Amino acid sequence: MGTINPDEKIKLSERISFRIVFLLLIILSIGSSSIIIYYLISHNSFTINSRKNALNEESEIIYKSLKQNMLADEAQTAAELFRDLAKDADLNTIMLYRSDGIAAFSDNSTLNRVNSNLLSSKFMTKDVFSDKKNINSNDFKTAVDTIDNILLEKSEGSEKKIIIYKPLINQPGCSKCHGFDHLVRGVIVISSSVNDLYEKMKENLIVSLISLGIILFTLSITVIVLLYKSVTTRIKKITTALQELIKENYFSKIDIEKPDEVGKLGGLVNELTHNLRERKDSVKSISCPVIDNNKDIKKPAGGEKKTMTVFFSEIRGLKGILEKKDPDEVMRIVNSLINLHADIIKEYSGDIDVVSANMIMGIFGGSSMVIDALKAAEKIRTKIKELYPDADRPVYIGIGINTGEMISGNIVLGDNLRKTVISSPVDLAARLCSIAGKNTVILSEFSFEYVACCIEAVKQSPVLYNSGKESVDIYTFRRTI
Amino acid sequence: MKILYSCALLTALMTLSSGCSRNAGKSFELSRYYRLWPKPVPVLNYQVPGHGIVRIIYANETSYKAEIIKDKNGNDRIIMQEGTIIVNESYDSIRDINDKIPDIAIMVKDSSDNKSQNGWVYYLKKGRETKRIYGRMCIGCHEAANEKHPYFDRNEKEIFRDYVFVPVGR
Repeated sequence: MGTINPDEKIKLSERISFRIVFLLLIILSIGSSSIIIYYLISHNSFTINSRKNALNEESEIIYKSLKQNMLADEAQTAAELFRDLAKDADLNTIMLYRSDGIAAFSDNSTLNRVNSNLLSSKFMTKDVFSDKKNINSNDFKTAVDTIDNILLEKSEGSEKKIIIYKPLINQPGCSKCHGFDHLVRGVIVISSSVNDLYEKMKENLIVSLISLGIILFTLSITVIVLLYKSVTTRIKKITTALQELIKENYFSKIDIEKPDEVGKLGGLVNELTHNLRERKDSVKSISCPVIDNNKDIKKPAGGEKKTMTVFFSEIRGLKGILEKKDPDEVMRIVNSLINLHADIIKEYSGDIDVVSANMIMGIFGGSSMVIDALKAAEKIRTKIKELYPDADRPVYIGIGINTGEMISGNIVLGDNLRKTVISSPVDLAARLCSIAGKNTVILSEFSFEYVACCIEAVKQSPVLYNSGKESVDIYTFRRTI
Repeated sequence: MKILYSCALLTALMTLSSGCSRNAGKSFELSRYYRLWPKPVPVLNYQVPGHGIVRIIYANETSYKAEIIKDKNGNDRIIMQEGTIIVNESYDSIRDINDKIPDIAIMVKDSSDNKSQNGWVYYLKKGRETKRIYGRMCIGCHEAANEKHPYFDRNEKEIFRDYVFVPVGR
């Protein structure tokens, strides 16, 4: 299985929405077009066959009419009947030819022959003849030779026609006048243009394909929009949340919107984020350098006396902001501020102990414990000022730092291990925190003596502590040098 | 699986071909003893369209078992039996009889043939070759047998004679 680079942009051809729409379009285009073309062709074929049948019937009617009149010795009537039929035909062209291809009524040869067979001058010859052209087509000759109807479709230039060649048989009743030496008296030729049918089919095809195109286009847009809104956008939100998770931002939350499959996935990601956040919070109090130095990991519930620096930071000014936020947002802000402290304290090798939602205690050990604590305080102060520069409703901190001998140990709470310190130096640090002003860091003389050379600080009036029994010099920390 | 498909295809093709061949284009062999069949009319010595000047007509035994029924108007209808065979030898002159091999026109009553024309199948035998006739070459004239015509008894009453001019089924 190949790996996917999450930062790489997805190609258009790889996108699910594109593939779904593309597949839909292909299937629908091919399917619908095939159906339309099949329908139109079969419908056209049916119509042409109907017209062929009609032509067949028409030729049969003409044939029988001629025969009836001829057999009743009404040859003249038959001839006039035929001429009338041919003249009155709207859509079709009706012609009568002798079996040799010469147009009927174009000369007196038939009349002369009949008179000769009848040994009389029963029929008078004419002076006026039809001006129709003779016929010399292979289909005509085939009809005469096979003595069979020929019905076919033919193209003459741009015109498409159906033509029927219907041989007139020299039946017993006819032969007494026309002679016995031939079988085919003549051929009725009826042709009907079917250009209108093909034009109509073409028109229907164009209209159908245009309609299909519009429908497919509308469908594509609808599917794309639907997929984008229901799936793509929401998956993007989940992707963004997971990317935040990778960056260890455990405060992102996905708006579920709908309780469908994607919504369920989003809910699971939210739950994962929440669980990861809780897990991270439960191990925040332990920092590796302190544990490594301490070796208390072997005796989890134990403690010892040692000189350490303790740092108290109180977050102030939250009340006004938090009152206007929903609970989730409140906790997010509180957590982000606590985590800000935690990350910085940890950065400077300290341990963090969250005393309350707005009071954080940091514990620093080692040879650089005081300078580490001051650097952490300085950075925290800078970050808070950057986050909340608003002069009207500021969020600000007050920090108190003290160094002294204190009892340091682990508190075991179920499966969680928490480091803490207790003693009067801790209380002093808390006292200094309480008197620290807005974004002010106060350190005791006990801490100052460790870093006098390395910081800029202003000595303040001494403060009393230990129920007023003792006093201590304090300094306002400006900056590290 | 391939063998199964091949067998199925072969079976289908055979069924199709047998079905197709069942009723259409059956080969016909005129009995060599047709001249022993009775003649319904004497030798005819006048030309009719489609046949020679001199004609001798033979009809098999079945021909004479025509059924005469009444139609709804009470008129007679002559129905020739299935298997009727009428043979028409054509010569150019009387002298050619027993001297030359005639052209033979044959009518066979076989309604089960899906290409029969009004129940009749027409053949032309020239020399040794017997060719089936489709189209209107024969039926075009024989339609007139059911109307008044100038031959034999002329069918003045225009009785349906089952397309036969010769008065076999009286």
